[in-house]
Amino acid sequence: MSFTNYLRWEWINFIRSPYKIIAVLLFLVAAGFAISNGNSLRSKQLATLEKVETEAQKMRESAKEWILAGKTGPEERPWVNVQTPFYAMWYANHHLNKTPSPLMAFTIGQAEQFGFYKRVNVWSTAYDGDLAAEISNPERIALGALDFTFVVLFLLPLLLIVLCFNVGGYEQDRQMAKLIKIQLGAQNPWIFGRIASIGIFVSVFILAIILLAATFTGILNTAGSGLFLFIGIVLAYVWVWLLIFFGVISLQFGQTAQAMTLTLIWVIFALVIPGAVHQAASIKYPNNLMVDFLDAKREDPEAIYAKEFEDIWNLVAEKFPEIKATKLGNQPDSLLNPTVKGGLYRTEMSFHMATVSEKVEKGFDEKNAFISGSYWYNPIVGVQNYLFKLAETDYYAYQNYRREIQSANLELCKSLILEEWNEAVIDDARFKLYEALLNK
Amino acid sequence: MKTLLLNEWILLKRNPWFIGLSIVLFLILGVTSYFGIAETRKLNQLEAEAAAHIRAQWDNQEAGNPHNAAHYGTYLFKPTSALTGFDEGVNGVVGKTLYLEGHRQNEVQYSEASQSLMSSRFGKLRPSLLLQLIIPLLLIFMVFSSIRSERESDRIRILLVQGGEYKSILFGKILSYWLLGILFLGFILALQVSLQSEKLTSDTLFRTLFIGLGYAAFYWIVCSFTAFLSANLKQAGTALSIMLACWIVWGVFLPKISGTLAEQLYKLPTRQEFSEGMKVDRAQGLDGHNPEEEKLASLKDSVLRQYQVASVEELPINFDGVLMQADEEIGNVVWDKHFGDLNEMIRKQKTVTQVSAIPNPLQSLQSLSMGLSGTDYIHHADFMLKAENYRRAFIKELNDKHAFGGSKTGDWEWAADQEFYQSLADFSYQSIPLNQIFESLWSDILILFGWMIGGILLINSSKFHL
Repeated sequence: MSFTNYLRWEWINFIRSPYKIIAVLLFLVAAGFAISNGNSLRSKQLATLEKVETEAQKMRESAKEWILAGKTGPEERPWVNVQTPFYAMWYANHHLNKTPSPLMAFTIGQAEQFGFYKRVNVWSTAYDGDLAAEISNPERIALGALDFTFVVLFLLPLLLIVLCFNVGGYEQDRQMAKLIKIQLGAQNPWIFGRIASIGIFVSVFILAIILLAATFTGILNTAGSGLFLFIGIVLAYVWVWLLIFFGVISLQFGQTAQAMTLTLIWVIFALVIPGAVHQAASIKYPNNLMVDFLDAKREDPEAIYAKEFEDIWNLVAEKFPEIKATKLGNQPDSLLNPTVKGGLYRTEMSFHMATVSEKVEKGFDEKNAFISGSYWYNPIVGVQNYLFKLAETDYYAYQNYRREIQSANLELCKSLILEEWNEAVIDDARFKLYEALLNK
Repeated sequence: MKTLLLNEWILLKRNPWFIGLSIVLFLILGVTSYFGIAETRKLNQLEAEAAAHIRAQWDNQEAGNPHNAAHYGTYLFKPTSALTGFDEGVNGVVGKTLYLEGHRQNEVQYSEASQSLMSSRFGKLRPSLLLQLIIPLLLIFMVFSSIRSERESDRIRILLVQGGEYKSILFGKILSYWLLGILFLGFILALQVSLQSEKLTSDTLFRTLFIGLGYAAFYWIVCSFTAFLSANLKQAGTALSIMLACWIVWGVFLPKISGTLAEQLYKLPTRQEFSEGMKVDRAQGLDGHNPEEEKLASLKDSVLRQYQVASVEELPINFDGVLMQADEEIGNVVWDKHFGDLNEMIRKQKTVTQVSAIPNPLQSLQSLSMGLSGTDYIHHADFMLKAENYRRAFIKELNDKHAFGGSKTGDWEWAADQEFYQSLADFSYQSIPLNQIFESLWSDILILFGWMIGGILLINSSKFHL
């Protein structure tokens, strides 16, 4: 039988099976809903970032007006003095944002678990309360996001089961299998031809959904090569499942047993193995209550601020030798005012928090190494996390973002202390320099 | 009926495939129960250690100004309920660490889900996952095969000729497989009870019992609907496809759709809008640290009148403490409004998802299971409310000490002694009593009951067509 005939008969078979049509329609609804979800989350995040930036810009404009008018700050806050480097940098107001990638429309991933904008100041850490995830219903979050990646990785194999379970099984039940063998010489090429035909229809269907959705959401031009890699992985995934199905169906169990076996395979790879890995990871690395971090934030400052100035100077100068070349760097301690001395303690605190944060992240990395080590027997989750990575919605994308925050805090402290120790005079040009420096 | 039951069980006993699968299932169920409870124990231990550590820090703080202590604050760790090992509910995504401080209400932080790569899409392999998705799937296949084999081998005709009634035959088969489901369920619940016998309370016991009833109702629904379709549809493939489609739609598709739809119907504010709203409302009240003249004057006048003095310096108390408490009380009204609205919105979403479970009894079961395990949103919100009440009382004690402890206005150097800080009560959480839980779960119970009745009526209406 020619391959065109396989395609033609499978199409006829499909349009004559109402339950298969319903299954495909349901899948289409799920895919549409999932893409609309992802796109709406992305738009919402972009709109929020725009608002945040507008607010920040307003604050910067106010500070510029005060500086130009020779004022120190708002009247109701007499302690504010934008003529000092500290408050000038405070009002130069640096937000570090994680802009959602175009592929978020297809892959929400873990994006709903994390915050995506943060104002970085001299006391910021990557675990502050203001970096919390967006407000959402925890019961919905616990169920997981319905994104296109979920539809493809978990629902598509189920759709394939509905489309394939009677291939060869129906003939087996009706005792026509032998007839096919007599007519075609062997049954396996016939089963393969039918499954490959279904695979081609499904691949075209998925490709059409992705390309149409990418066109309508406007990400076709912005997603770049990531979109094509995404398509490639999705299609390869479909064909891997089809190969497994071919292996099972060629054993010729009959419809019911085929449906049961294929569903069982799905249950094992989509539910049981990932669930078991998740459970094992949680037992080995339980929810970190972050007590070490809390101690570092609450208790360690006391120890740092209790140190002698000379000790702090040595500590900071060792890690940040540029301080030695500042205007006040060679002055005797007795001539330094409390503000510049305080800046040194603050910088040491920032160095300390950067070390603590890195330690916390390393703790999390052990759990991640355990999870990624399971990919060879937990392949669906492996593929899933790769797709999340492509869309920058995986854990590591947010971990990098946290690292950027921590490092931005340290850079801010360093810049500030240089300005304070060089006794910088704030004017409009200097403020603009801060703006450019912080929002670099 | 007894003969039918016995006959089904004998057939099952003779089926090596079934025996093998049952052994594997019992093993998996046993292991998941054990690991679920082991994780719960470990979390309880970590929470207790963390709470003791934070309390020791609080108790050992040096004598100091109470307002500084309010800023230093304390931390609470959300307790893990006894049945978390059975059904984790929202606990994996909401975090456990809550910072209590003066001037503001915070939210729990550092959820487990935010600390690692995503390792599953359906949650941990907990007994609830197996009982909600895998056992029903097994029941679908078993009931389907049993009824179809009777039909396709024409044994059904012999049974009818021998005087059997079609409805009774179907009920007998449903009952046989329902009992099989109950066997798995009973095994898990017995493990839940026996593995945590040292900490078992009557509350946990009753919760476990009601969980059992919920699952039993669901298994009845699964068995009766599969039996109805298998008995009444001509094509075996169609019957099986419909039941498999139901399983997919109920278990995988609808819960995610309805949750998202509920969020679209009752939109939650973004964090930025939420903070901005509170900031605006808060700005209209009194700010303890930076009081505006007009608002300050009114409070000052009332206190001066009360003590019949002309200036705050003449007051026998510390006006700063009074001011801080006034700031708290105004803040509390703002938090109540905004967090209250948010809570109301999420409860409305929950109602939508509960009502949208009318075509999906599994979703009702999931809601019931989480609720009775003490891991649903209602329990989370209850913890947050009780923690906030504790924060308010805690901060009030600090402000009162600041105001009435013996210092005078403007004296920020005044220090309360260590004994005072040690005397402040620690937080102790009591979960919602069982009778109150049903207030939020009645619609789930009603939907499950309706489906159960529906299943019985369908089987009653079944007729064998020659």
